[in-house]
Amino acid sequence: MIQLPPYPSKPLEEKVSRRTFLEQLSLLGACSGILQLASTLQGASMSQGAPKKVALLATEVRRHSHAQHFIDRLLEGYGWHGEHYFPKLKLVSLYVDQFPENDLARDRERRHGVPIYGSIAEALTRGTDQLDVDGVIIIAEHGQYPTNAKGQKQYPRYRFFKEMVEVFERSGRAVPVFNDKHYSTRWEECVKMVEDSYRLGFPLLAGSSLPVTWRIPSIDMPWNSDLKESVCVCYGGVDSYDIHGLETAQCMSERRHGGEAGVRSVHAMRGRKIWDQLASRTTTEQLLIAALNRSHQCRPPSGGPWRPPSADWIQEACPNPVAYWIEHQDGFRTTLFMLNGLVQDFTYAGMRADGSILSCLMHLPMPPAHTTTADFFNPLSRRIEETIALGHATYPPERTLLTSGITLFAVESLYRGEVALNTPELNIPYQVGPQSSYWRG
Amino acid sequence: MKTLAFFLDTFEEGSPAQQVLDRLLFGWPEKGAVASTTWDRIRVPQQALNPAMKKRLQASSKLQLSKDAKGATQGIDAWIIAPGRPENWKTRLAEDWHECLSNSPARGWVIGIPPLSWCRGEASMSPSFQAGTPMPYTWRLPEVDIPWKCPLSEIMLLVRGAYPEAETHGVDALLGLTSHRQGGESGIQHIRLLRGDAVWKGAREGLFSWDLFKAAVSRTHSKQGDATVDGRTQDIVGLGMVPELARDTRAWIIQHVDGLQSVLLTVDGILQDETFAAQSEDGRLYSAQIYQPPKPNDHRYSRLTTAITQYLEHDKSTMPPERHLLWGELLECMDSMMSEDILVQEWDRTCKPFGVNRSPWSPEGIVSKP
Repeated sequence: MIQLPPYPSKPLEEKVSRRTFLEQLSLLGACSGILQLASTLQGASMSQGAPKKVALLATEVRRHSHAQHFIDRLLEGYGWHGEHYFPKLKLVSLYVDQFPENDLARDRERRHGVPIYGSIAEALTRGTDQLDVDGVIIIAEHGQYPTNAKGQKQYPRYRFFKEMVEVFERSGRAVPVFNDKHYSTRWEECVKMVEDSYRLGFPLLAGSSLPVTWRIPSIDMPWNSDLKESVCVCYGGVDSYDIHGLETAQCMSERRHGGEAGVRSVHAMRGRKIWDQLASRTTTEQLLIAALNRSHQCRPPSGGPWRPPSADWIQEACPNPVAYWIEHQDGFRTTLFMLNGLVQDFTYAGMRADGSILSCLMHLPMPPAHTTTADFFNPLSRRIEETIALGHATYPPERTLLTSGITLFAVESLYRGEVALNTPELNIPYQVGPQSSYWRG
Repeated sequence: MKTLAFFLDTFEEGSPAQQVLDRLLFGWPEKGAVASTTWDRIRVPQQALNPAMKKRLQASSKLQLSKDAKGATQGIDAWIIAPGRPENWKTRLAEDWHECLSNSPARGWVIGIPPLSWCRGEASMSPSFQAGTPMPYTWRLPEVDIPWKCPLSEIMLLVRGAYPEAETHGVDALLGLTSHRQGGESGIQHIRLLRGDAVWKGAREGLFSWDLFKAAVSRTHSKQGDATVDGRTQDIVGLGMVPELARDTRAWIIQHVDGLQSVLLTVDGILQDETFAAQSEDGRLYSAQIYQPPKPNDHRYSRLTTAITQYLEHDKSTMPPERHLLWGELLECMDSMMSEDILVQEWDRTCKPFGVNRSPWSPEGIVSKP
């Protein structure tokens, strides 16, 4: 048995809304800083007042690194709803952990006058002894970091986060935070990050761009659907693109009747076993085919033009598949297929109780092959701005806590010989409202 | 036994002929499922035989070779023409096809635009045919269309590519956006061509809407310039970079009889995708990217194949013949302006007014809560 800590001592399954949580903290007089935050959130709007000051903490800034995408959207603007939009956020400080030969951080510092500080604390306090920004963006993706025995790259997301939290605590004030991709590669760290956001009362937005990018067709899972099963088909590596695939499925699944109930087991496997397992799962197979029918980059084994996907040639085209079989607390199922060699995009299919299937492509206009600017970061940049300007996360941090946990347990499952793992730690129920947050305008 | 004749000159991977024929033989994705046709036989003239076509013959019993074009048309229920190269319309091939299809009772679809004589109906043609590229049918990002009966004041389409391919596809897309406006299409008064630096000088002089240009550019995913070097998302319009980035720019400013101004602008060097922006008389702006899915799947041909089969199998037409005539005449006019270096051409042809009661494009998404 792997030893993981129990879920937060103040369980999130109590479904304490952020507003309620803040109100409780305010009543308790827990911290003057939190009271200050709670008051500043009232009546906030995207268009009011001076631009919010933000700090961005990056691992490295080079062409097409995640940090470059976010920094340039803050500094240069981006296409949004039929105009070139300049965010109402002012990037006032950077912390950059590594400077590769093709570094662009220095170039951006020079051209835009955004100082790079030598430490996270300095970037957040900007020469004072107090927190001096209105929001923090953590982009700890890409860069040279060690990989552990399980194949997880040890990006310093948790270190960045904790150093930030220390400044919050020292300053008696906390501000909204965005964390790119999954929280950490250690479960207890993921939990602490979400706990910190509740403890200090700051809005925490996290995760991938997949839930917010274009969808083809432009659909969302109707809220409160009687959804029974979700499948995501994607490509990429373990502990890398799997989180994107899981978020693709989760942003749809969480809209089911009753909301997300949490995950009770995760079983990851590679190779031929996947097809054996699939043979006993008719609905999953139907959804796999339905998702593939939404792919715009699905190639039969011979290469060349499109052919209707069939079980035979899927196996032939994809000699090294990876799948995560996920059982939720309420009997709901999610399956993630990473089918390298067959597809190069992210597609979703879900089956409702009446047998109808809803499916779409989560469209990533990916550079450099098809585009130049990775504009799936446009809607994510916009959601970050909303979170910082309005003072509440567009979608709950529990989504990414759950997908982070599934990712970690899937990695563990593979590491331990592709065994099924019970996951009481992932008993993380949460609910979302009817509002859609994907790009459609 | 239902039979379709499929005319093509060469069969090359990635060509429109390959994209459509493969879908008719093997199926294509439509609304998340695999669609198929009801034709039992698809006849292809022998002249198209090559190694790629041999593979299809081995893979599908539906596909049959016929000795010649005449043989292919015997007893057919429908026909499709998919020329490999636009210049082939000017060869004897087109005449052969036309001769074979004259007096045929079958409906047909031309992928692209046929010679004007076909559109004018100067020779007896099959009861009706449709002509079109994937441009009016492919997905849009976002799923935006000009509302039916919308009073449009100006529309701009940004396309890329060399002449005449860019214009051929561009006019097809443009008419797909404007033919269902208030009053329908009532004809064209004159066309102005600006080339090179004159395009940007014309913009400064207000010959076309800079606001529409900005809106259309904002829909791109493939800005050129610094973005190609370091991924920068800079405002290439606001920073005044466009004239320096632009290569071989052509702006066709088309003045319609009802006051609408259509602008077809080539954006090589500026963008690598197709977008549009339009303004209604009440000032409302509409803009979107006309999505080009990655090759080799190129699923805009799936959308086109759906439109083709809807017409050929179910007689669901999207455009009246007058629309193809206008498309062909516009291209002919453009051709003479390009070759004779004419900058302003008065429209001296009669143009029968026409309208359509629905757009050829349809959204696939369902309405979700905003």
